[in-house]
Amino acid sequence: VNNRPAGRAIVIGVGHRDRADDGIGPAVVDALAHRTDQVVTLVREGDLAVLPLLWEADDDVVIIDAVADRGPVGQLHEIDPSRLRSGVGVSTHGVDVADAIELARRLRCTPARLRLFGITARDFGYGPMSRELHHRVDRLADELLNELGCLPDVAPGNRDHPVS
Amino acid sequence: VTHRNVDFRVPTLARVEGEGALHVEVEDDVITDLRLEIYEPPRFFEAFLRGRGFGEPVDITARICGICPAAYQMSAAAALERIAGVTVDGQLRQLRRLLYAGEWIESHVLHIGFLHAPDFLGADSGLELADRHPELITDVLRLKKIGNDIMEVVGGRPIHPVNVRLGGFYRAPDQEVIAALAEPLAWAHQAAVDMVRWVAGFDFPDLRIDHEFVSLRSEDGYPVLGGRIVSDRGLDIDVSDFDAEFSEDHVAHSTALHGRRRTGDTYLTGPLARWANNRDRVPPEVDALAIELRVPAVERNPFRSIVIRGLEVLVAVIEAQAMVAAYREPDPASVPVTPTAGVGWGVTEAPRGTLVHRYETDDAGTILDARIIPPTSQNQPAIEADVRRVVEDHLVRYGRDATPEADHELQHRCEIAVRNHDPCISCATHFLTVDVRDTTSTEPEEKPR
Repeated sequence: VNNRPAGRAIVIGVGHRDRADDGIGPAVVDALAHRTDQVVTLVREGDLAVLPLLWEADDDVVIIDAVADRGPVGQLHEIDPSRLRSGVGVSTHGVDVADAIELARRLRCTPARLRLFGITARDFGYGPMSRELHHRVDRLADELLNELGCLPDVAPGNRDHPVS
Repeated sequence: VTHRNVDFRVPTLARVEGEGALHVEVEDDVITDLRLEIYEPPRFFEAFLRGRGFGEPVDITARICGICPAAYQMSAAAALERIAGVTVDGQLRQLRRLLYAGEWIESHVLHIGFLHAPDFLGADSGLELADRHPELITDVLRLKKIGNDIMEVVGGRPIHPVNVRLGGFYRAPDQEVIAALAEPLAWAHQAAVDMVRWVAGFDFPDLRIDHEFVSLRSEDGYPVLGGRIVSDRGLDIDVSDFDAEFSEDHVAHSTALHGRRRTGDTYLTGPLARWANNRDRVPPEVDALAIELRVPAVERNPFRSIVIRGLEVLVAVIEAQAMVAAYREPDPASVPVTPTAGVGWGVTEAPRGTLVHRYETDDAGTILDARIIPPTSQNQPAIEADVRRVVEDHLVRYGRDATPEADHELQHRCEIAVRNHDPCISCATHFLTVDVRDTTSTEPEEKPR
């Protein structure tokens, strides 16, 4: 991500903050935003059809979303975007990340580099994030910084993001 | 003479919002069965509302639809404010209209680009269209995003806005935040014109429908927030007289109620009806574009509804531009609304058509009864009538000479006839009335799925 000659590094957290653990993508992106200004951070709650408009062709893009049934809660997984299956075209009430990535490909606007990270979540009901996952937000943000090759701009002790 | 039989079932209608099916059966050249089946489970929103507080329907009913939540908020607010004897006007009304313009833009362009246009360009999906016309579909997405951005700025979120309350808003957007919409809207203006020209050039099947066109008509421009319910056949009523003119009936094959006139006739709400009843209310630029593209004052070919929908996007963009330019931060952001007992009707124009709410409250403002009459419920019989006309025309045209290819084309055309009206099945499946028969003395009826 660092030392790229052109384009931006964009990290997009997707998910609904009001749907318990589904809000982990936005929560981790918020935590990232408090650690570094080397990446552009965005949150998208709902309506992922417009996801391809959030980047340019020469950008490095990282998408973070909650995933179900993949190991222990809070585990970070890198997912190969090309292995996702898209079902868009039947309805538009539920365009998900896979659909949005496929749409970007069809629109010839896949970014220069696209990485997709999933974080295992369990509770997709209504209400706040589970304490179990909430406690892992800062650690996940640090893991992602490491994955992205970024050094934190702010020392851990000086972060204003609440540490659980 | 060889008589023909046709029997097809589309188990899951594609490119509509929600879950429905279509069943057509022809025996000896006679249509023996034709059903738009809505099998999505009922959602019981009207029941949820009973016992809730005076201000809660604005937020609860927004959850009925992710595409048109502001419409539900506006109709709920209109009904409850009417009970309280409150009129929201001035900048607060304009701000509500701006929110609604955002919703019209995002909803209409989604249908045009991803659900309907593929029908006229030989594509199976919006994805396929994106593959073939990436620049056009990128513009559609940009338009949609601008609609969503308006909703986010005014409503607090792009989907299921949280800033709307009875009497106005929880917080008025800052002047500069609204002003920042001017530049994207200027781009949207030209993009909307281009989109209308694009869709007007499609090759449309011939079909003439004679449904009564029912919509709102108001004194302040193209109808959005309230007005009188009118039709092209002389209807002109206040929404509180809705039950005297319209009925809602349960049918076995749909979890959404069927709307009809009290005479039993079908009627149609939505873009075609709004256009027919308010052709003199469109901005001059839209008027000129319609004339140039030879769009009739009353469009009776439902396949051409995509053109009217495009013109309505342009209406919404032009109105949004004017409202952004004239915006002054309202202070306070809402007027007081005191809960009280009463019965109130509210009506606004959702993207898909006229959306009616009715509430009955007690002295504390608690909801005793709620009714929500969405456009798709009202349009179901008309949609079935359209499909019937398509099948009848096919039988007349081909007679006994129809090939399997022609019959396959018939199925496709029937599906388009449904999509012409952009049905939102998820919106429609929230009825409360469930008839339970005593099966100990009679044979049970077919139960809705």
